[in-house]
Amino acid sequence: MRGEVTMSDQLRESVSALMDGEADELELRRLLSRQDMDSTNRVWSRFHLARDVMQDQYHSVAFKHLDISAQVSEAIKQERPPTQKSIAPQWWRPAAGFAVAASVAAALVFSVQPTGLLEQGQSQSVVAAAEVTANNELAVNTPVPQSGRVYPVQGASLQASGGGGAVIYSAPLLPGRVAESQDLANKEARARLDKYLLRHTERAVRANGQGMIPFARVASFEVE
Amino acid sequence: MTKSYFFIPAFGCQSGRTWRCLLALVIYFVCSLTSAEADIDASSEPAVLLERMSTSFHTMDYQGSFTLQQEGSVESFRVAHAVIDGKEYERLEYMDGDRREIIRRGDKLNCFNVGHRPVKFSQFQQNLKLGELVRTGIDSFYQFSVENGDRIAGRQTLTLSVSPKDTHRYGYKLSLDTETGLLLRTELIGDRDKVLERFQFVDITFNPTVSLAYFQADIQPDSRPGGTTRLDADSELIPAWTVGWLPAGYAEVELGEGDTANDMLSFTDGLSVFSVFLEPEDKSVSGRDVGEGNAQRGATAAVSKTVMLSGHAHRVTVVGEIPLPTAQQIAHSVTLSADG
Repeated sequence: MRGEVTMSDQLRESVSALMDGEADELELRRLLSRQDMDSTNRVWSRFHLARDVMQDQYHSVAFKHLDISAQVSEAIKQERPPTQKSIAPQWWRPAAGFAVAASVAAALVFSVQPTGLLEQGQSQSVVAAAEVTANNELAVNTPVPQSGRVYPVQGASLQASGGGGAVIYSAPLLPGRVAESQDLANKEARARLDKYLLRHTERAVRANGQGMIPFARVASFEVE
Repeated sequence: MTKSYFFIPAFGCQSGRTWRCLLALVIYFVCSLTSAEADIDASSEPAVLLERMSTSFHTMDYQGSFTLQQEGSVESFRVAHAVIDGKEYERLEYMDGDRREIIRRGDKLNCFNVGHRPVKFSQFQQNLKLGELVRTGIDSFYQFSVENGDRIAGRQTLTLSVSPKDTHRYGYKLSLDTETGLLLRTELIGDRDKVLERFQFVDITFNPTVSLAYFQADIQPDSRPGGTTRLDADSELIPAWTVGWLPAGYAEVELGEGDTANDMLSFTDGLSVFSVFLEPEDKSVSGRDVGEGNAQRGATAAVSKTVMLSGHAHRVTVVGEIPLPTAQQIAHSVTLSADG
């Protein structure tokens, strides 16, 4: 144990001396004749890395063998391109508690009932997320203190209706045709929501005494 | 004597001039009492403040920029409002992303978006007086407190804190310009006092010189024939329907002239507004059921679900600045109306 420490200390000293050009021929020979070239190499590269970082050269030298950018671009290449060129900002996001699987899919706005997809035999790509409760019970309001108000837990009543049980689909995980039609469905759902929001806002500006400000919430007017 | 007052011009007899002066004074006082109200301060009644807030948006001439912050995002806007020859003009421009603007001339309200047909709304009418609502019971659902506020957009403000007494509405922190009563900042406060949305003026000019020409759309919308798009979808397929449950204090929004949509109901408690939409399920273009789900942005919640009404599937969507569970509860309660 102790011998090992001494040995590696000695190794470091030798490498350091060599790097500084202060190693004599004897030192160099001793270094080269070491049995464990692995640890010599490790110390050698670590010291160089340390020096390069200190001299701010690591961009060009030290991480050359770790081609991160190549790996990242490879990963990007393999990723499905976004199928939906969204003109409007992605401004509807799934509500909290609902977002277990949906958070994976930035484009997903509304969940879809299982029937349509199962017909196409794509059930394996389905991500079941929300819990199912039989009775669609609603969130119960409990009296709460005035300050630091706590609203009923969102998601307490997030089950889909129609006896199907709630299943959330994550668009990017769905292959080919299904994904496309999912996108279409999402687009449609968002377009409908935007239109509803516009109509809602029209009435809100008349009712809530805050001038045109409610219109700032409407991100898109693309209703045709 | 009185005759001379009526018919002899300013350089008439001495007493005629006195009468004129008196009359002018009386008119001045009446005017100052009715329209140009005094500054508001921390001792002002909440009802007075709310009324000032809602009227100042319609009576003041102003031009400025504001931001809307919703959780992670901030967007900027430019707004101008003027009363010219007794008619209100308003223009709201979206400064980020695609070019969009909303222009109101009197009771005509239109949205413009590059490459799209302008969207025309039903006639615009301000038809709810907040102050009246306060007197008729808004304070059974909200608790109000007034204190001196921050300096916002270079103006001194007064803060009106509005906290809900139940969980069916959000809280508000309204910052009003002490001189004009105009709303300079609104914070919508949700669960655990979290600010869901913040609207705030960055700079504002009162009584700017804005001409009528300013209230023309800069944007060239779609030039294809077809005119404007109307949003209302009055459908014969929609049965007579209603909501079976409403949170306390909400009443139906009075509709503007020409607003005859039967697929939409809107409710307000004087501050929060939400709307319920109903449409036959089979309208889906892709033939795919996209009717279930919840979505939220800032303070705006949207809940959509499918209900069976007279044997047909319908999609109910609730959109509004209300807590999501409340929106869900409303969506669940949609039924055929008794007389339908």
